[in-house]
Amino acid sequence: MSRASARETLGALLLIVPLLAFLAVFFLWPLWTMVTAAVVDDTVSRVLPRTAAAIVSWDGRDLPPPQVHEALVADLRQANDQQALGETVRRLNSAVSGFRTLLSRTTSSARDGADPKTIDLAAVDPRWKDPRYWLALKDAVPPYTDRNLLAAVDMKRDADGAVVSEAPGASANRLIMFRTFLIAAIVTAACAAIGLPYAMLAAAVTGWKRSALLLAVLVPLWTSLLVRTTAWFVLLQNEGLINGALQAIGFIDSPLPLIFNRLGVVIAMTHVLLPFMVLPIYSVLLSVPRNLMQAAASMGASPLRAFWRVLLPLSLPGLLSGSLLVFMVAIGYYITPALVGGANDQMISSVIAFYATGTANWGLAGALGVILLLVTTILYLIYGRLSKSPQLLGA
Amino acid sequence: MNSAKMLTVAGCLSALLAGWSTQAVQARDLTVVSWGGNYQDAQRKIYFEPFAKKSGKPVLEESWDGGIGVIAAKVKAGVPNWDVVQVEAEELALGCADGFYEKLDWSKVGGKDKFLPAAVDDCGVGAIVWSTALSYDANRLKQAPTSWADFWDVNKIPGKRGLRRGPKYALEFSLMADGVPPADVYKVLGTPEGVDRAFKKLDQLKPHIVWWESGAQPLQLLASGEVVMTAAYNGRISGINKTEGKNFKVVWPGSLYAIDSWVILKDSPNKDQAMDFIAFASMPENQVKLPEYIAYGLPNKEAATAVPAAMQKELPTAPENLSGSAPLNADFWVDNIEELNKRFNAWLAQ
Amino acid sequence: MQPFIQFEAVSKSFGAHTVIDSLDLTIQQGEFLSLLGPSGSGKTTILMMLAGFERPTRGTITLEGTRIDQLPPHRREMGVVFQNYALFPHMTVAENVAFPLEMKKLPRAEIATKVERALDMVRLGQLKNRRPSQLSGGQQQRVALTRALVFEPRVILMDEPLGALDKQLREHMQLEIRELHKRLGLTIVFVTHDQSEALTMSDRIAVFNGGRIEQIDSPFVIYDTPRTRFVAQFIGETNLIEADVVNVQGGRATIALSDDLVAQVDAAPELAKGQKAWFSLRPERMRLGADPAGDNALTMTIADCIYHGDHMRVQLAQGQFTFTARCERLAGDWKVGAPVVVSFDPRDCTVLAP
Repeated sequence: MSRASARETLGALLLIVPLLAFLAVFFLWPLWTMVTAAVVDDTVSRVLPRTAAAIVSWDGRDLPPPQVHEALVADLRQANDQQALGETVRRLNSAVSGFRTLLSRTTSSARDGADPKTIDLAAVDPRWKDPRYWLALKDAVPPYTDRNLLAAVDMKRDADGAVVSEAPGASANRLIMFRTFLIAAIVTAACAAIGLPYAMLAAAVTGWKRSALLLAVLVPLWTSLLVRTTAWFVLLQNEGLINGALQAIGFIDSPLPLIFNRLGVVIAMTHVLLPFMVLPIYSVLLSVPRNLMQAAASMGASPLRAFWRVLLPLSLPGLLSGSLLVFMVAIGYYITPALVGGANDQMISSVIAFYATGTANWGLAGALGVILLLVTTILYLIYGRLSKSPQLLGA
Repeated sequence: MNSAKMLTVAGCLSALLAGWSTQAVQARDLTVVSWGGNYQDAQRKIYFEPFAKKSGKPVLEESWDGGIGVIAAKVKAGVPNWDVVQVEAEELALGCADGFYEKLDWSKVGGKDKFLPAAVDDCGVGAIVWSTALSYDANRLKQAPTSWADFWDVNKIPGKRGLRRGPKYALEFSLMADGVPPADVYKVLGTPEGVDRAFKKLDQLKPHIVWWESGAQPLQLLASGEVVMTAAYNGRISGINKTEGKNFKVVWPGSLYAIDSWVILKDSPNKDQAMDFIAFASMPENQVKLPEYIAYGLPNKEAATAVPAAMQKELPTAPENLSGSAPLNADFWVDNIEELNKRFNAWLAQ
Repeated sequence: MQPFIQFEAVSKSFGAHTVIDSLDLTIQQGEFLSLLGPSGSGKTTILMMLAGFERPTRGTITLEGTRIDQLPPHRREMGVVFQNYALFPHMTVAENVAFPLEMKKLPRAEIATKVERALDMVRLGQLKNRRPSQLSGGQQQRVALTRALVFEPRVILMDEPLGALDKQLREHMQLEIRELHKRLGLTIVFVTHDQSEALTMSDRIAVFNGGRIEQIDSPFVIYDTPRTRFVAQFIGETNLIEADVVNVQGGRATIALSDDLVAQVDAAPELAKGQKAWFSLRPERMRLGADPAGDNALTMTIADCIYHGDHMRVQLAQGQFTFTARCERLAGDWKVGAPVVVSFDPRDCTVLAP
């Protein structure tokens, strides 16, 4: 008996193995990679072990003692894994610009020189007389770091190790992240404002009208980004269809700025994300019996009050899950804002993409991702609290 | 018993998978990656298809948008699924220093002295010379701009201007507008004061700038009249003049030219074939066909001189076009792109 | 006396399809009127027009002399009980019942007491904080009923409200509704396709067929003297036979049921000799026995005998001709194939013109 049930349990476990494997490979592993990329910082201690050991004793004032110089030269002479050295260089250059050319010059001198002790680093490159470069080396020794996470929110550690904000005008991640959430929120609100009546209409009509409505909302999802963007451009530009029409009927004298600003971004993103709002509301509404509205009317509720007290609360679950979907997807947008937005509509994903693909600074890309994930999780928890409360409207 | 069986099954499965994936790697044909669009269409006609015919093996192609992170990810994955990639100067410098590329066999491409000096690198062979330059629609603009100073002068030529979003190009052009000769731009930009000066000059134009990101955008902006002039890639300009009958003009003085190169990714399984391909694409008789399709300069000197004179004047490599321009300093950007991009974003947000 | 509700020449079409054709109907105050008919007969459309969810294509509907057919539903003050109850799933029982009172903008305190009282009346006071989904079908039904009653509407409209309940609960609820009707003096219009439900509960029944009223009368009259063949067939069980009128004399007619079976019936005056007519006789009105009794006594053969628990169903035959009779289970020891005398009272027979 118990053997049979044990076998059953095992069988059941076997059945979900693919699911667990899927979650691990496509969800947990990338997440873990992202988090470790953000905080692990062992490349300098791995590639330059002698320097790492020697520089710890340096107090950070003036210039490090000669044995640190010697250790660095010895490390560079023996660093034969070019890719690992490249990673170290990227790490250091991201801390102090110019480290790349400095190290490549130093490395070739170190390798050419016969005796490491005879090499004078300051003669190889005068930048070695600047303690900034040595401090960056010393900073990079501990295997874990919070510098990426701090940089993601425009902060850093000063010379004494205290956490301080970056100088104004040096970095704008916090602002861009805030802007990302703001744009996502505006798009969500716009989607809700259009999507709710749209879904109600789609649920109310039948036959080909319903199919046509649903198809119309889905088409943008199936259209390529470039085609869609071009279409928006044709519509919204100064000499575009909308401005042309408005001017033709004498509604406006000079063209309205509809593109290359926040409005353009919101219009274009709302257009694409509308199905994520309409479909959940629509499917919730389909399960609402039609005669609930009749019942409300029979009890003296005018159409408006019946909508407010019955239909709206009942479509709320759809509205909430639609909002969540739209918001989450919107946070990750960056190509659309880049193509139809203005100077101040760049979203955080484009910054992440810059570090991830542009400069291979995966530590900072990971840190930005972690912060984004953190904020999103907090928002999700708030959402969970909200959607669990029995009634948001009426009572 | 049961778990032992499970392990066996799992072992068999993974062995199968492993076998299948190595099989896939061995079977993969030479994969060449370039910038897409009509440029890659031209490359297909003059390089990819003839090479496939000559070697008797198919050539797979993909396109990409650049970024050393993409290369790094491919190489670190072990066996890359790309072989030959066309990269920009910064990616060449970064990737070569970091060991992402195979060292090239220059004897196969005919020796280093056959090429412009700037097109020669241990890891890459120059493929094209292209420019980023001021351009405008001559049919719309009565008064032609002649310099970046004109670009900055909104009283002389009113209207919006297009610039590439990001510090690269924007800072250089800004300094030129502020009176720095093209040859000295990087010397000035190499100092903190120079960077401040560039941003300060950029401040003046900020309300009039429409920022673009992809190479097709400035053409769209010009064509629709959204901007009166813009920084743009020269190949695209002559392309649209040819295909859509536009009258867009390129202002060569003050333009920045750069060289894109062919590289072979480290540990490419088709290394030899990749080298053969690069040699094929570097032969003067093949390269000389390119300007017919798109106005990029040719790094093979023999090919460059063989281009008909009518096409010559549209190329960045024409002597009269080169005289007022400067090469993009890849080393400067390799060192400073992160910090300046951060600052640029903060400046945009102000 | 002015009728409470009056339909005058009301027609309703959906496109080319006419559902109700020039219908007249009056409903008295305090009356329990059932609209009975097969599906598609137009009975629900009448209810929907009364509630205001549909507008008549032609004709007028008045309530206490005032036209209401153009009034929107929320201004008609009619309580509607739907077949699926139409309870608001996002509200508790108490909130559901309070809803119509809130729409009337009554003071909060008054609403609370009214809801309390109404729920106690239907013994749902304990469940007032539950959601509809947490209630049984019968409980939901009672909530729906309470909700329709609590705001003291002028008319209660019920659209097959008991259709979803099982048999026992249905019978229980029938009594409960009847009881409420009597106690509160409500005017109820009740749509059903279940004839026994209509017979049990109604003051009057309107039998619908094809968008017309076949007959509107008290349950007794409907059952005992159906005026059309449809009504005779639709209500209860009957033996319906196409027959020839042989003779008519002084309120009595002689009918030839088959070549050799003849019956005496009480006849309507318009019946004429030589005419074809429909003869209807309820199975329970027949007596089986060895001896003839009364005016009609036919000798037939028992073809089959079916046991039904509380009664027996006996199939009788004479050549091609058959009758079904219903009798007490212990009325006799019937043997299949045995001859038997069937007697019935002429007054129990109905003869309908074709």
